Amino acid sequence: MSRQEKLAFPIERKRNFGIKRIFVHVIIFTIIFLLLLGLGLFGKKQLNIQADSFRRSSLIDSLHNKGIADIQSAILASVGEEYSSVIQKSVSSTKRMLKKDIAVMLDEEKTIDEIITHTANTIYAACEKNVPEYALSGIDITLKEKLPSIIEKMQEDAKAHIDELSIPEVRKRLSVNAPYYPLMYYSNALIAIAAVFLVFALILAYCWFTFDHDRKVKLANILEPIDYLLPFFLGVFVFTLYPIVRVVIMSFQERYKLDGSFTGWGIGNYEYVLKGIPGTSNYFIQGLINTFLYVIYTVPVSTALAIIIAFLLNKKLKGSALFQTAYFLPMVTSITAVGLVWRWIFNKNFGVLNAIIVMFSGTPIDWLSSTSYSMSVMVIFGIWNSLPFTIILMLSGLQNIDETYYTVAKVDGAKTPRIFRRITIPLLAPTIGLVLVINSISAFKVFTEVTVLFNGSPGPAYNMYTVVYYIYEMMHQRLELGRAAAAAIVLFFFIFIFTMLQRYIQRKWNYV
Amino acid sequence: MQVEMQGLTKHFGATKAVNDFSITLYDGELVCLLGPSGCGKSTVLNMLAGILPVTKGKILFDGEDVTKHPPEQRGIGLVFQNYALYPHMTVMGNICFPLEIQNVPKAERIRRATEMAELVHMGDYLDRRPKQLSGGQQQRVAIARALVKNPRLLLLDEPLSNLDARLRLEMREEIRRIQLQTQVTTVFVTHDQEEAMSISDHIALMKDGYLQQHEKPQALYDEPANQFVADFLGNPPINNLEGTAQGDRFVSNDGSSFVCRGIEVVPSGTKINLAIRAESFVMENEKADSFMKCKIISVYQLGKEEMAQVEFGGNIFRAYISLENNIKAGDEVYLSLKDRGVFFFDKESGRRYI
Repeated sequence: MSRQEKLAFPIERKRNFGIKRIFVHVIIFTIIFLLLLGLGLFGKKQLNIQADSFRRSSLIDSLHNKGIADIQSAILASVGEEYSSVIQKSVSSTKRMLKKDIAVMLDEEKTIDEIITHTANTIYAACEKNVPEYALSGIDITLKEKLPSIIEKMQEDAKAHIDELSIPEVRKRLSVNAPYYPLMYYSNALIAIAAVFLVFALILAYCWFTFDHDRKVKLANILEPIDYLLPFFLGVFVFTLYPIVRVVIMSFQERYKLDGSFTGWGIGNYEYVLKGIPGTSNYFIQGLINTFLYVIYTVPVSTALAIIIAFLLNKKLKGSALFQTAYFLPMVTSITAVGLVWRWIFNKNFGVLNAIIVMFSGTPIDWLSSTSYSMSVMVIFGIWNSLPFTIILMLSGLQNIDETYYTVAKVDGAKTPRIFRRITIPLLAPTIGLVLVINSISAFKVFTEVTVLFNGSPGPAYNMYTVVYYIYEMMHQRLELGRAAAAAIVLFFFIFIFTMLQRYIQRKWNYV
Repeated sequence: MQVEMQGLTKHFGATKAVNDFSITLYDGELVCLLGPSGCGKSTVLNMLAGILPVTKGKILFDGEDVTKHPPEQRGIGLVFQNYALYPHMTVMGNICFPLEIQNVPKAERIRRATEMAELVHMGDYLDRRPKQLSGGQQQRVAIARALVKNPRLLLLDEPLSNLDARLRLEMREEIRRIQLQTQVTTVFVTHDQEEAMSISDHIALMKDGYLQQHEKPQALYDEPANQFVADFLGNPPINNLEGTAQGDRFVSNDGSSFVCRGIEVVPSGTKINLAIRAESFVMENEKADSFMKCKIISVYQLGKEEMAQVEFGGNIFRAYISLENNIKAGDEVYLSLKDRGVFFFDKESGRRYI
């Protein structure tokens, strides 16, 4: 039974436009196929051009350096010691000119035979000026004798260069700055995806020509939702799914570098991240501990504060609009700019915080430079920073609680503390659960707070590493992408466990 | 408990929600506050509960002035349209909560809650959460919660509006039963005239913040004080024939007239609405001066009788006609009026002439 027949009041829908949709898809898929294929082929072509230019420069280098060196040693062997300096001098005088000559001759598609002969002749001509005649004849004879073997050697060498610079090797050596880099690098992938589209187009074309009307309608109905979802899914795939998969893969590519090179597959990255270098402090574990402490300190405190503040704001007291603005201010200000203000607040000599401490006759604290206060500084700043968003969530949670619950409780004589404890908190529990999850995840990702407060370093004595700071440092300063990826996966693992735990608790709290 | 409201007035800024509202509710009575939406009936209830402060006037509970007392000192039980059961507590927890607030010992709490749950027939559901209950069951629990602390006054704010038609019928009988059993003075707010008619001892009908009439249900129906009361009560609605009183005759706007009993009380020449209940027509066979000459427009079968749409002098109205008369659309018939269910209202003021 079709879905339509199940409806109590079947809706008559116009489907003619739907059938055409299949044909439109064939055309669209074909266009996408041609586009991707064109891009892929263009990338391939560019890759070949790039390969040729790599090969050419490597060939020039080899002909120039090795060819001249061979010729020189042959000449040197044939004459006495006394001429070695003279010959070397004359050879080096020709080097610069010869490099240009070789490049020109390669462009003219001269053979290696001709190039080497030309080199030998040029060197011979240079020697002519400096070497006495009797020695020259010896050189001449030697050159004529040795030249074929040198040429043969050079030809082999050139072939080896071409073999060595295979297309995959060229792809590896590509610079990110090279024009059409993505097209060159992903040309195979582009062609592969193009092929997939071609297959789709062919299948649909087949369906269009062979299906009867009803089956066409059915197919069009299947295609319709896909049409609407496709743009979104493309975005998700390219910018979310692919990066996630790539990070997982990268974490298993040992010592993966920016140029795409890695030493092999395995769990070496994880080993490095978790064990560190023996005998030195392991900053990842330190970061993990710091991150956990940060989560444990900030999340409960900021959630509890947010509940109280939201409860008071929700009472619509006089001036609550002013307080609302004040509390939400951190949300609309730049964390970097605010961080600078907090650095000033925490300043040892001029800071507001120390001024207050001194006012109550305490001793000023060196907040930012003393290692024992780094965590407190971070926690204070972190709580302040996460409060506004938490309050907004709590306020919306509170406003969802029906006013009649409070009215009934008040008529029954309940006072505010009891109402708060017995009604507000339990009814707010789903929101509290949500806030706990969101806040813990964002606290696990603490990074900006560290950089901003400690002026770009992980704490005054490298004591305030957090996991994300470690990842950042691995990635952008040490350029160890594989290790950074492994650290990110470990962090994900912890966040995942934590979130699952909280979801379990949250489900228990949900009664409505 | 006897509840007295004296000149109760409530203004929200410029809006006058309730004006000079004075009624007395006697001990053990169930009184309905009836009226269309926005007539101020819920405002009166909220003032009784102490949720809304009173602008002017007094509320007396057994002679004691409680106008300024906060809700918790008035000893009232409150039931809302949406029940407002705490979703995170069980039925037992919900019924116990008012006692918990009063710091009643736990054993005593459970005993009284169980007793109350039995009263509303919810004894088997004590461990359920509100979302596991049907609308009617939730309403029963809400009533039990309101009654468990033995309130002096029970306030019900449109308690049946969220229920479907069948449950509404069942629950209103239940509310009446529970009220009679506990003998608690009860105020019941509703906009449904049938609901009000069926369960209350007295009805206070309100419109635009003013009390229209405070009477027993049947008296309200039989002797409406004004046009609004007559219009509001009764199904089908009362028929209004526009015209003028001329001596002992009612002259309709297009000149057709008949001799109408009782119309002498109206000054001759006054524009009036002749209001007649649909059941107050009698079919006549011959022509007479005191009979209305009418034309049948259409006839509906209702089983035991017929309902006809009838035209007289340009006014179209509904009348119950007994089956044996065998009428059909287009017939010319003569109708006379019974004494009961015929009222004369002033066209301008809606005032009734008696």
